[in-house]
Amino acid sequence: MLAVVPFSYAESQEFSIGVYYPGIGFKYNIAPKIGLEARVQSEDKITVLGARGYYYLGDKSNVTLFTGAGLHTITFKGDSSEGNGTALEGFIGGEYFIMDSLSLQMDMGMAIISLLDTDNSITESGGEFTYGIGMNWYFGGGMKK
Amino acid sequence: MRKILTVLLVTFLFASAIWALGLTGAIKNKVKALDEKVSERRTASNHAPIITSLTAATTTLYNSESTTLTCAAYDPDGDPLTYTWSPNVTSNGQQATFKAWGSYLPIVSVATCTVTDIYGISTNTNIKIMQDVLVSTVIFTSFFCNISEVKNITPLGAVNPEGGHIFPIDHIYVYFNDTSTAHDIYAPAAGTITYIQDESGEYGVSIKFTDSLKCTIGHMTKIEPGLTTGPVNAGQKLGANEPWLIGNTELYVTDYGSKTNFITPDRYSMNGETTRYCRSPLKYYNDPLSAQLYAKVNRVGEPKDGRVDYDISGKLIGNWFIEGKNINNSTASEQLAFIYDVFFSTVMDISSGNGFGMTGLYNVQSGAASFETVSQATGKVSYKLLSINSGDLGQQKGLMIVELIGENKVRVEVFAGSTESTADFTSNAKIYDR
Repeated sequence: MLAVVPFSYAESQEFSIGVYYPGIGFKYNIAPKIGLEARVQSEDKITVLGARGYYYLGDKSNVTLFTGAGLHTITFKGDSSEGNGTALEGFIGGEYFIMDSLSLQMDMGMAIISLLDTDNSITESGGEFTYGIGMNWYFGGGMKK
Repeated sequence: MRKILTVLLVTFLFASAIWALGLTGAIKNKVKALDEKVSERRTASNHAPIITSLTAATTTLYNSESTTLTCAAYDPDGDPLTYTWSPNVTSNGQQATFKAWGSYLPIVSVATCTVTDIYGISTNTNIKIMQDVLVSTVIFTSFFCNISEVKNITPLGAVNPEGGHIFPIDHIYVYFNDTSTAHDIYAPAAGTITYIQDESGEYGVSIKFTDSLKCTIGHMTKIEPGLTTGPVNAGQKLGANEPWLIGNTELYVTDYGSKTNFITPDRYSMNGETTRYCRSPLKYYNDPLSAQLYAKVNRVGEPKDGRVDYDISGKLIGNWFIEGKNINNSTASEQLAFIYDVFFSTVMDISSGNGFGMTGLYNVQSGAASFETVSQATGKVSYKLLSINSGDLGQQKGLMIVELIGENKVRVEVFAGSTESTADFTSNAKIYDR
């Protein structure tokens, strides 16, 4: 169980690199409460490229809650199927700073996923819950409280 | 409050992460569902692979030779294919190697290739590989009796319907000049005695020369004291024939490399092997012995060796069984042969069991259709059954009408005692095949 321990952190850092399971992201906080992130994720012949928008709730502190939405493109190869698709997600989560420039991030949400098997023109669509964990390293301007 | 929410969130996230972590985890669930849809669609519309050919570099092998088998196939749906082969070949995908194991007798082996698509739907096909045997090169150095004592030799192809031999006989007979003295019998070549038969004073000795060549000497009335199974030398005395007890002695040679022309060789299995693989014993001698022996052959015309296999597919000539029978489950009354005479190679003979109330060997009328020319197109043919006995030689004893009703199926009816030239079939007609 993680305990929430207060940390002070640089307020001037505007960029962060995140390592998520299973991918990486590059986030830019364009405003005190708004961040934009480009993400690449890959697992089991599934590759996801997309962008996320974050909206930070409340005042910034060592524990920060956020909500947001993302849009991703998908390419995949399954046991029988192969093709591409999109995922539109909404999420809510939190970020916990364990150091001045290092935070743990967790979020959950719902994604509307649409896949197309290109060989057979068969589609599969529907909602799926998503759960994410990761770690962010901030640099170059700071996370703005 | 925020701390509590944070702790709950972290706990929930970690617990949930076990099920599906990250967006890719959620997508995996959807890909799995899509896989099932695609599989169902493909299974419903899937087509079995099609084998276009299964070929062998050569389909006849000798000794321990090998041949490469190649299977060509495609899938109508374009699915990847896998090739599996029967256990008797060494597989290598689309190709396989068949290796003969040096069988002592000809064997037809079947190799199977099964082609399967990624959905488990398969097609298979077979190819037959003949493991053949060459005619033996063994030379007999001793005749099985003293040539000087031999009056004559009846070659292969005699018949004796009254004695149950409807089909041409697969061994030669030797008759002696002096029928009042015993005549010694010898091993024709070095080998191994495998069997000594004793039937109430009538003896037979079987000798194996190689795995694919053996002989049997029969109609012996004496066996050499102490003779047992085991090695035997060329010219070693085996026993004797006393002509006043049995009028001749006989010699079978079974060579698994011999090729006979029977339409369905398998009908001559087991008890028929001596016929199926028979070969004239005289062929195993070199001159001057060979010339001396052929000079003793009692036959006008060629071949001097005689023959047992007159069958020609689609023609009347040759051996016939009552429909469905074979050499092992048929009686003499269920066999019939249209052949050429053993003593006069151009004389046509009909050898008949008691199927029609007439047992015997008969000549046919002058000008009758040659057996080898009678086919389905000929239609019904009539043969007068003429006596071969000296007392009533040439006298008509009955009438036989025949009609080929299939490539190797014939309808036959005999009118015993008839002196007519032709007749119509009745319900007494019988069907023979081979």
